[in-house]
Amino acid sequence: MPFAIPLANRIESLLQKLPAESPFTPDSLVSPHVKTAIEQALDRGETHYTDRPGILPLRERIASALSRRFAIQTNAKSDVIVTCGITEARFVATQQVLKAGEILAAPVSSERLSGAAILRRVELTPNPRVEIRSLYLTSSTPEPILRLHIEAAPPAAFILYEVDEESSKFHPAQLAGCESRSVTLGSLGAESWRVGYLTAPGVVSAGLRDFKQSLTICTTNLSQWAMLAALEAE
Amino acid sequence: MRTLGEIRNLEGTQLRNALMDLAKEIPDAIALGRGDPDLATPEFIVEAAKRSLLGPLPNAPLAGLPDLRAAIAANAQRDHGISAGPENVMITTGGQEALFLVMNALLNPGDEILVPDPRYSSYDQAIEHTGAVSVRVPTSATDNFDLDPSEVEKKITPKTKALLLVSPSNPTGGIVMPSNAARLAALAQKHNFVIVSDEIYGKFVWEPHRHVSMASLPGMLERVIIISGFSKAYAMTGWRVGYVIAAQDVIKALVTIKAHTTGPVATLSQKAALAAALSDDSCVQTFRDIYSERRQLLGDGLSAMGLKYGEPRGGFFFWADSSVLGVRAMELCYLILMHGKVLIFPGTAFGEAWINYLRITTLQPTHVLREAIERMSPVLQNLSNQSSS
Repeated sequence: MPFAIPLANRIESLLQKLPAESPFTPDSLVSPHVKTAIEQALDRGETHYTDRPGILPLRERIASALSRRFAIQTNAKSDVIVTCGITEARFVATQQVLKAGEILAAPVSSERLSGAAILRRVELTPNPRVEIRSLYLTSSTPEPILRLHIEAAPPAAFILYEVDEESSKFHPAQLAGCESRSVTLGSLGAESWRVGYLTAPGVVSAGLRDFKQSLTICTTNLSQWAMLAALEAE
Repeated sequence: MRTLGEIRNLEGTQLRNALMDLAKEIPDAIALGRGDPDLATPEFIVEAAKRSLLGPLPNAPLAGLPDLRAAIAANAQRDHGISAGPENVMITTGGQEALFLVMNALLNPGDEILVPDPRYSSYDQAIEHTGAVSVRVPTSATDNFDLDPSEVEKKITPKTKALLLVSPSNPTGGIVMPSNAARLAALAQKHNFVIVSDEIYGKFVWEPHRHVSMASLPGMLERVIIISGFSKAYAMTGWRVGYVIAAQDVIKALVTIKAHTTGPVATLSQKAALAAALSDDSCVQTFRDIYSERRQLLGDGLSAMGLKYGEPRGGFFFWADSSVLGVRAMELCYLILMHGKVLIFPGTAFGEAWINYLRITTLQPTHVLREAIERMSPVLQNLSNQSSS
């Protein structure tokens, strides 16, 4: 039976951007230390909402990992938000940093943000040279190219920097004038746990936290303990 | 610690967050603010989650695990006679995300959505995000905050796309009575709008009343979108599992949006929710007995303190009128927190006009509720004395 009224206009555009479902992964067994951590969390009664930005020990792990790798300062209490996977990290960042009608530049991997751009009603362009509000970059892009994109962008543009590989040591926040406008996005562990993160300086982070709360309140409690155990085992 | 002056002008979610942050700094504070059931997730659900850890936990489909969708559809038929199949169900990251997705599936910029006042203000951001406009429909203590169809009709315009119905209501505890439900359905059909029916507290409607699911009314399945979840019914807030029941084309649209907001819901949480959905709901009856006792206890305590409230017909909250104390609810909540070490929320966290109302939850054990009443009483007595002198 069809629905009684027409749906929102954005649905048709979004249908063109629908990503493929993740392939079934029968080998996604839970490692023994993660299993133990979840059992212990359940025995402690970790079945309620967590703090909006996530459990503090996990935020501390994320902050220290970023500090070690990129030599940037991240305050676990004020700057880190645990999200429902990288998808929510991307979505919250774009919805909060941009206003409807503004322009987001994504010179690489723009398909990752195409749906979020439609939902925010912003223009998505590959060109960082125009009057953009925000620039999306990824750590898998070679550093010289990243520097060129950052230099080309307006000096006030927010930089959404997705950490999508394991080795690069470059981060936009290392550059003079970029620290206060850099937002870091990343994912943790296997997809099925749905844990990612966002980090940003306190003022920016407060808005991200509010938007995340309005979307999902907090990230799944047990998934956060699972990812903490996974990080501790590394 | 923030002062009263620093938080006085906050409203909605920001005000609730500020008060919760303040309470965290007060050792031994009793929280009667947030709607997070204190009860533990039932053991059979926890055990189901533990068993799931023994096998693979692959990424779930965007719409949710097929077994869980089927179980929810079957329960909608069992509990409310709604003819739904798994294709009419989608799993979401809690009821909150469900609302966000639904608003984005329905509303274009400039559309209007009717929202009862007072309201759960966390919904505001979802509506604003679409560029649509909230139109407030007043409710009042005179009819226990039921939504009056006559008031709804006054607000309908050619731009009206939907009515957001929250029954039982957060924050008032009001429910939509059967006669009004039928009239609201008739209005939706006459004026061609949708009813978004948030039924997250639907299993907690108190006798002699009963919950009416809007999609169960004749001819309404194609114009009702049900939002619900496992958080409140099964004390599973931290698992983050909600769901939507709607026409298949709506579900398809919601899945399309969800691909870009959060992706699938955590697989372990869905496995746990499946255990809840396949149960006979005897755990819910146990919860109902517990909450009924608390409701009686807290209601008596509030009456003894001189606070007036309409009968909470459903949910976990009392919505009490504090105007007799001669001080605004915002100040009152601050005083109660500072001097009584009890966290409650002022009405302005749920609507700008509700300056003389308090929302108080029953989500603490009875001995803690007694302690809260003992702590609040002298604060209120003191104010009452000042007010009458």
